[in-house]
Amino acid sequence: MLAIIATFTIVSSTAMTQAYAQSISDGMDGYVKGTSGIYTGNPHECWYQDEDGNMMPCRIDTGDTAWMLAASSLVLLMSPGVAVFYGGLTRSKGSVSVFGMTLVIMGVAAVQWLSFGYTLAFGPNYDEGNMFYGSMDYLGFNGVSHYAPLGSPGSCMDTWSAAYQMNQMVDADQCSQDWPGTIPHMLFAAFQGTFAIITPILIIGAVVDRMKFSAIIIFVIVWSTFVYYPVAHWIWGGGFMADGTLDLDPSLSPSFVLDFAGGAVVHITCGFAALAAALVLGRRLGFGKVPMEPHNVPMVVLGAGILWFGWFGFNPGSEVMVDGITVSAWMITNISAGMGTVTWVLLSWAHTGKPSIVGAATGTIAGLGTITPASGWVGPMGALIIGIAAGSICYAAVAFKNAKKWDDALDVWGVHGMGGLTGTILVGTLASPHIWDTGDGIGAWTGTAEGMEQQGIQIIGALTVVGYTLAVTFGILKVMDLIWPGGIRVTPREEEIGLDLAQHGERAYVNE
Amino acid sequence: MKQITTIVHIDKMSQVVIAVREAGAKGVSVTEVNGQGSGERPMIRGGRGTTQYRAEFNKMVSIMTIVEDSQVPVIVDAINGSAYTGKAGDGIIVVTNVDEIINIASKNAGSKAL
Repeated sequence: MLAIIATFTIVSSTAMTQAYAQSISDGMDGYVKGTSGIYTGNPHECWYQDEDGNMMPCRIDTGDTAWMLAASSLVLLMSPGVAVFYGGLTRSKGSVSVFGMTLVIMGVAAVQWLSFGYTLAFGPNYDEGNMFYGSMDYLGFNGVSHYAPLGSPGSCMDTWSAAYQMNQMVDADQCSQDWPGTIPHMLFAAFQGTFAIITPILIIGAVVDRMKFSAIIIFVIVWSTFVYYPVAHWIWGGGFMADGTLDLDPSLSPSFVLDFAGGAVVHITCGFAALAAALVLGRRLGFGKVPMEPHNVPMVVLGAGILWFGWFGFNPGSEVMVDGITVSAWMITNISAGMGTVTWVLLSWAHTGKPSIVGAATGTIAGLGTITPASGWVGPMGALIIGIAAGSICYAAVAFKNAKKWDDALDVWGVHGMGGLTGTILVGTLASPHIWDTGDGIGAWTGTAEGMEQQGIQIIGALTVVGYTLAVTFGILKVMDLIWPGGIRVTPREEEIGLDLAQHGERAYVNE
Repeated sequence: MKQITTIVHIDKMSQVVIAVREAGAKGVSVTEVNGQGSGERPMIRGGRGTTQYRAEFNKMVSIMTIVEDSQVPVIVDAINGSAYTGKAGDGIIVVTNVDEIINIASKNAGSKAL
């Protein structure tokens, strides 16, 4: 066995070294040898030819780039944050399984994003099919530069940043005129990659204690391909929710679904996929008969804290630069998280007599998830209202789910699904034209025809994502259950022992 | 020789153990147990604070000691003094006969084994 692995390693590394040497000497993958060897040949990126004939990348903003490196790292930290949150909410016999699924999905989703995820979600649009999927230009991060930003070159003095930057902009024709045009293209891909990693991880809360490890990994790969990447493309990658297809009245300004940081793309998709998964898999053994309560409340609270912290990369980072919107998104996120926490704890206090701390942590996540689509569009009072809506609607959803005896074990649907849906609809109501200097974002509260149209677009967009996610996730899991040897659910015996020992042979807490 | 087993609330463990030792017991063994009885069980929050239910068990300890017949009233008094609150669920004391005791190290039997 060792000899086989050694042979495989030597052969593959030799082959890869040769391929890499070729790519430098032969100009493979569009790379050109010479002083401009970094040129990717991607026409959607911002490159210009200098007087010596070399292709040079447009200028980037070092401040924006530094912020986006930090924001990407903050969002990536949310994935282990989810592991701590979910790990505390499960019973102790399934805790290793939750942490394990999270870590391995982080690895799988990162590689999948590099391989074909980024291009399906954000590949350039050429034809009708690209209403639904990106083109394959960026397969394997081909043509994704770590120097050049996206967009076409033009005068640096005409960029958006030039309007508010204190420091003098360079007076030259070397700056991207588009968004996101102040950071390298690869950093934009990295930031979006952290979203593609956390979204499938959020789903595992619904399937804990009963889904096979092998099945969840394959499910996540298929689900990302058929749900996350297309929906991200619809809303963020120039697909049909962003290109004016949903424009109800072309004479009015609103023409696309407002989703600043992923209320529909991230939270509706993961939440409603979780509901579908919980219904396909069925209830855990003994559900409703024996209590299945969090085994470690401090872990739940710590996890909620890590998520709150990481959300400051998630929402403000979605501006993909530093300006007033970034600052506003930070404050809006904090207000809604706080109000969601307070609302939930007060409701549980009034409803059952004691302030629940697991409930408070859940309210935090509800507030954060609900404000996500609105974080760049509403003002502070709008955020307060969304925080209250998050706490009360998600509280009602969790109570409703329990009454229905749906075993969405860790309330992914109640908190993320219903929170994302509430937020995506409410951004159409509460969006304020006082946030963007362009006057974009007119909600129904203004009482204008534009506001009514925006509200309509939000409802159509949100419900489309809900329906698509439910249908496709149901389909994927039903097919997987049919073709998987023995089904995607573990045996009752394994479930009784707990997935930690049955699937991994490891325990969270060892007392010997 | 008598074995005295007393079952009390887990938060009374230290007080009872100290009282029993001061009353002359040579040693004690303590086991944590889950119990149901006349005592009221606490309400536990469920469903993210949206509901609550009665806990299945109270957390109790079983404190076991073996003493001479003559010591029994003193030890029982000590337990009563340290564990009494007057509410249902304070616990119970069980006194049983012991046939034989052997000390593993010294091989002594009977009283000398303790």
